Amino acid sequence: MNVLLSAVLSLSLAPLLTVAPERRRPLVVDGVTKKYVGGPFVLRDLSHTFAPGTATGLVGPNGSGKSTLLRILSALSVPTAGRVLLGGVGGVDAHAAPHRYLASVGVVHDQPDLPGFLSAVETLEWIARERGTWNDAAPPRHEALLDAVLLDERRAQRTGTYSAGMTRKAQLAAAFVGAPSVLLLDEPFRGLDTAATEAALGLLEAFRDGGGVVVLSSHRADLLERVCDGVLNLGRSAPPEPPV
Amino acid sequence: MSSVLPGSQSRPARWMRGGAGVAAALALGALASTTADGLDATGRGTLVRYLGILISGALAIGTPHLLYPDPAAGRLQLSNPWAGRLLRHQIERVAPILAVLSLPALAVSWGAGQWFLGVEGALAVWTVGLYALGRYASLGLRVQAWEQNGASGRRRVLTWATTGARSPEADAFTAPSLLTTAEVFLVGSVLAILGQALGAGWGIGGPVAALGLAGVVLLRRAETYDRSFWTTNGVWADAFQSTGTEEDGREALAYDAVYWAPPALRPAVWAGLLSLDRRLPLGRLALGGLALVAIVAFAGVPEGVFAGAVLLWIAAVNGAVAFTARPALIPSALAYRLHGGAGWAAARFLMNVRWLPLLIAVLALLAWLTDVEARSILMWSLVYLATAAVSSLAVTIVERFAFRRALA
Repeated sequence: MNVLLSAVLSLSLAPLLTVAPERRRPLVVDGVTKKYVGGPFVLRDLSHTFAPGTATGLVGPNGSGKSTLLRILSALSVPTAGRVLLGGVGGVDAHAAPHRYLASVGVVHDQPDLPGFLSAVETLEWIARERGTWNDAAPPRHEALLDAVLLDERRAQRTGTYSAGMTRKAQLAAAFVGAPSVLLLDEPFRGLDTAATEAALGLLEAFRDGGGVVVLSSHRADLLERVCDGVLNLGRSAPPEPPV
Repeated sequence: MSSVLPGSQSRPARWMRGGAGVAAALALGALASTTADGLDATGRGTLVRYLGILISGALAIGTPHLLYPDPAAGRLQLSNPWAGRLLRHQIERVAPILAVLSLPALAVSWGAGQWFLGVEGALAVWTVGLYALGRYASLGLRVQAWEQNGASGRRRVLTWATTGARSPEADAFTAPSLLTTAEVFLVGSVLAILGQALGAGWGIGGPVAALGLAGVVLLRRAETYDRSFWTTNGVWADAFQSTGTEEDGREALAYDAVYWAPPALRPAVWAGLLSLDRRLPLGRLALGGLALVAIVAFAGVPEGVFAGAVLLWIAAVNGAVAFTARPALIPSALAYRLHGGAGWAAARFLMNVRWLPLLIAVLALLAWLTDVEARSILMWSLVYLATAAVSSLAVTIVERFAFRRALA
């Protein structure tokens, strides 16, 4: 992407990538425990604060609870104990007021979940209208957003016809379109080619620098290193016993 | 899909779904009408109320499985509809089913000059359906309360009575969900009994009052429905993410237990049954349904009422095989690498057939203890096998159609 195009894109995308100062709030995980029925503890008394203007990578081996934590943060799962608060004490409780909470949150789930019979352009319009961010400036902004994730002219085709990489690009754009202050991303780079990965990294960095909270999990340690200020390690403390 | 989620379904798929609904409505209506043939006014009233009890049972067990976890949860997060629209989304999902289930009562009363009886039956179905929607929406919050607020004496007793576990913390999900199932079924049964006691005409009062009450309760909840919806969605998804393993005390179906399936199809039958059992409390549904059939037989009702009850049971247990067409259970891409369409139709038929011995045993018992004729066992077995074949074939054809469309 050349410098001029990049500058034009970031200008038109500024409302989506910059979080207004009054909306910059920490995302607080307060003593969260998660235990599935009949299963072991996945998370135990986890407390952490994701500060505005930071990107945090969730790391740990398979089954350590990265996806479970992201599901709890996105109100798709309920903690056995503890709370998730946007804005700390007195803030919005993710599970007591999910509509208010999700209004500030953009999510990329690991599983592709887009309306298969709408195009990417129509999907963004639908989300913007539902979330009340639709206005005259929205169509060119959405075009710029789809340019930024490198979704080509097939953006006008139904998302059900997309490849895995194109679906991921559309999911990324959909996460930004509601002007969130928090982004939760589960394996956001999976399926993306090199250029699209660079573009996604650029968007996440711009959002983070614009005061947003980014929480993501990825098995690509090199990419986490580039975009994250810190990591939250959910790994088991005891290593497996060596074979005798 | 509801109007809250545009673009989630193709036009042909919408037409197919609508066509299936109309076909089901016609079939149920014709069945009810045939069953009512020759019955006098009192007999028709009794039939409508027995149907109400059977449908209440189906709604009590089926409603949460229909609504949770919402397959469009990810898309609902993207659009983040406000609480009232989430409620509308769920009502739009159950409304077509309630409309179809209302038809048998209307068909029974049709032409007998008993329109109020049909309205009573239809209103009872809507009342129980909306009551189930409202009560199951609050299930997540109740499970959280059981999980987080410790074990009160009442909760300990209820947990022990419903699950046999000593402490609610061990499984805070099962007891509240079973109690909700019982509660919804009780509401439907009370409405039917009330209708029978008040008689034709006055019997409509119960469902009207209860529907009004259910409407008021739902409207009062509308403002905070987002909390109920997302909490229950999460709790239900988590519960079914973890059940069916050895850890929850239920033994998984062993491969050798399906020895009766031909070797070539045995892996598919085993995988399908294992997935179905973990997705649905099918055993509970089948046994509970047969218990109701037995109650109907012991009540000495007209033959048509008993036939309607058995047919509903057969349709319900054979219809459950439709879940195996869901990608979450058996993804089509994987399925068709293993077998062709004929293979899967045959495997689904075998999955359905497993409840036939139970039906035969219960019918034999009823033939011994009640007026049910022994020779009807053969007839019901043939009806069962025909239903199993038709449902297996239909599910396989619809699934293949959807899969091919996705690939096209």
